[in-house]
Amino acid sequence: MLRSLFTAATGMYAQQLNLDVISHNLANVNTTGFKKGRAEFQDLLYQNIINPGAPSDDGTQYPTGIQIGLGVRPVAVAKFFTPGDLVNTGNDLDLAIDGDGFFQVTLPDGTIAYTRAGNFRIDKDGRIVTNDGYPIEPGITVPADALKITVGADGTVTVLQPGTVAPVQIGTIELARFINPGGLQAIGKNLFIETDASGTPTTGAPGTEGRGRIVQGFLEMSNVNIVEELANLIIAQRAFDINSKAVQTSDEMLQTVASLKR
Amino acid sequence: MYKGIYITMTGMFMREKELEAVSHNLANINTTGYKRQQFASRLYPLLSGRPSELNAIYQDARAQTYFATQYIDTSQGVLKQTQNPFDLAIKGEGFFAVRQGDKIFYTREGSFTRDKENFLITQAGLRVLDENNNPIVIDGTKIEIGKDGSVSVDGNPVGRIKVVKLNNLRHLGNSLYEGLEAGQANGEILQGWIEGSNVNPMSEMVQMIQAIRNFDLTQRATRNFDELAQRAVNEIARI
Repeated sequence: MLRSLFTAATGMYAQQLNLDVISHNLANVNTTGFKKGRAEFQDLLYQNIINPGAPSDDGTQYPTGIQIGLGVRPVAVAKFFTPGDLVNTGNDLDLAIDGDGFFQVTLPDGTIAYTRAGNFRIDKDGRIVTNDGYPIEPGITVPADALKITVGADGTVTVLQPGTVAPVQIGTIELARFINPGGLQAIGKNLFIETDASGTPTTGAPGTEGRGRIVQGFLEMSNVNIVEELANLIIAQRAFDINSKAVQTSDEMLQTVASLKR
Repeated sequence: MYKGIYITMTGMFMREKELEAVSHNLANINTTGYKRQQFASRLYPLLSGRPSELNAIYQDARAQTYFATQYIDTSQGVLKQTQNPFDLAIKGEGFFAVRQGDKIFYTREGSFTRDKENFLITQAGLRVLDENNNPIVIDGTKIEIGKDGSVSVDGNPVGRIKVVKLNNLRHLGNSLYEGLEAGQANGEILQGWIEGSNVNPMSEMVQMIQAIRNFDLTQRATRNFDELAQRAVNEIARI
């Protein structure tokens, strides 16, 4: 049967996936610490009908030969860790990272997950946790009588208690940094986990080894640019359209063939 | 019997191949760094240099069409700004060199990233090579790539990305090409940009319409030959 039918179908499939990725970006345009993705495509295999360099009928060589490509395939959904906009909230436990690092949180099963979303809260035991209740790692417990929490650019967490004038340090927030953050696995809930592709994290104090400083009272918004995504959406839809036209044309050709024999 | 049917058949066959080439271009309309393939057919050649009696037999068959050439249109694709430091586009001629196993392939797909060992890699994991065919290591936070391909990390130069001219270009799939290196290319590298495919939807659509109409036309000629045969069998025999 016609190769072009299947070739165009791979094109439709690729654009459908492209649309999925763009929709996900747009859905998370307002998600704290969200990092946008971009679908990457490569051309599929080629069928060699005449090999380059094969002798032609008149004794010369074909310089390029004839290769028919079989379509397109998705190769990656690359995540881009460019910084999102920082928005001032004034909330003591809203922390943003000005740099490359990640906050570390402990999941219920004990594994460490990484996040850029710094909208932390205090749970009933005084621990600093994410909105899902996952405690920050290393764990920090805020005394019940704390009046004011201050987080320094270097990650030190201090509280002011009643009757004292000097703030007391109750812990330090550490950040993790990856060589290839694009290799991290997104598990939803703004969390990422380490993979073989991302490499092992180097953890330590904020502001050192390129890990970025902590900014208190700010939140990092998603790095999705709506205008860019909408342009991509239009391109994806048109590309889908045009591939469906190729399917249609192949179908017409088949119909013509079928009508050859009366 | 009825050579015409076979001649028109080769015509339909060619249009089918043409549609396949157009479909492949359209499928890759959004593929980073894709170069469209152009496909041409031509008349069957004169069988010169063959024994004369053979030539006499075949000369009548010259109206057939057959695969002739195909070339890769290496014109510039659309440049899109992404502001991602690992996205590189070549403006002008040239190909990036990448290593797969012990082989070197070439690509225009400049959406690179970094692996856990700090090597600059393609999205498929192939290492990008410098002028001496060594992989490029980017160990640092700030990466700057100049127009000539020179890479500096945190202000220290670490090498230069290889951008070569290629002869005997051939598609391999997976955005890779094979070819013979023909020296340094003069294309400029743009950091924070990617090159889209150079497929122009308008010209592909026109070519697609042309293919399907030519196909219809050839099919009509086939039918005419068929009708001719029908008359010969049914009407002439009636006498």
